[in-house]
Amino acid sequence: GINAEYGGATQHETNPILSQMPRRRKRSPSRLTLVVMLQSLAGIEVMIELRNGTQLKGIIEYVDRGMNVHMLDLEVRTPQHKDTEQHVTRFQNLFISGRNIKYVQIPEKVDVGKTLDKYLEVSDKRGKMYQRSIRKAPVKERAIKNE
Amino acid sequence: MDPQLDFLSEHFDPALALKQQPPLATPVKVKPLDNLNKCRFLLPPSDPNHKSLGKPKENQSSMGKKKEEWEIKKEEIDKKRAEMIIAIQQRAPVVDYRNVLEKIANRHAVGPLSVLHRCFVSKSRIRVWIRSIKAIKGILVGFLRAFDRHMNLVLLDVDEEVWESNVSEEMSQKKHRHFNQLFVKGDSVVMIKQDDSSTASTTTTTS
Repeated sequence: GINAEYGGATQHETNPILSQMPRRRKRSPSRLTLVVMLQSLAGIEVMIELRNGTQLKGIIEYVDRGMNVHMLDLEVRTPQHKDTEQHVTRFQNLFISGRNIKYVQIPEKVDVGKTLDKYLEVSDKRGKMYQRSIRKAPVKERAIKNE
Repeated sequence: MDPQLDFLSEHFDPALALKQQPPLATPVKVKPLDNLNKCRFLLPPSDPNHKSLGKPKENQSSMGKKKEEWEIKKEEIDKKRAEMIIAIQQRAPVVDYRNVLEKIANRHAVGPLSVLHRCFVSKSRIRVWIRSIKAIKGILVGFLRAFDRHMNLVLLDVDEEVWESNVSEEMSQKKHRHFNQLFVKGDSVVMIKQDDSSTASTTTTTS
């Protein structure tokens, strides 16, 4: 919010730590698309099919704004055509560009709506924890201050 | 003991006693009389200003009374609170307030994607055409769980039909697959049709 002491400058301009951090947009545009849904799938094993037919079965580690996916513990199957054989390779760690994704197969037991809502709740709480204006000192500190 | 300094003698002189250095040792078990009113009982009964000692205040019992009253009030308040909670729970069902997928979909209630929004709301089966580089790759048929402005879709209970490229649709081998839950990236989506038996079939396209 606006800080009256510093002549109307916002916390983001006066605070030495905040001023170095990238500014967060108020209504994050990722909330308006299904990228958040993929982000909420972090830790779940899915099968991603790429545009060229390659299938990647593994655990999602992190998905970013551009839908680039970082995966762990993978099994990669190359596309099957009548002439070519299918190769299966295993990777520990793989980064795949968001542009190349065609499908993401989500296991049946995952309720997409619930996982997304839970994920957003947690990420909102975490975000609030680091807002200096809201953050309260832990109970012990407050008790010592009040003495 | 000098009678003037002896508290219990009739010749006691308070002024002299006060001037003593070191100060006189005061008797221990004496109750101090804070004001003149309290001294009245010392006067002889014949004196008009005499007042005999009344019953001492039962401090313990008055505190006890107050405590009781407070506890009764507390019980009543707790009862009321419990009733209120029950009433609220019965009145309003617990609502999952977020429902982000619905919120995203509702942004497109008006506009070209309103066709998709209609499919989303009516929970009808839709038919999605998927593209490969230069041709149509195949079709997905499933229930729409979520969508956004890029036409990224989440489909449930999906049947995929894929045909080979470089061959016409009738002649090519059709491969079928089934998925329970599928996220489709909007890049690959060409066309979407509502797959109901209703007369008007609604379509929406993307280049």
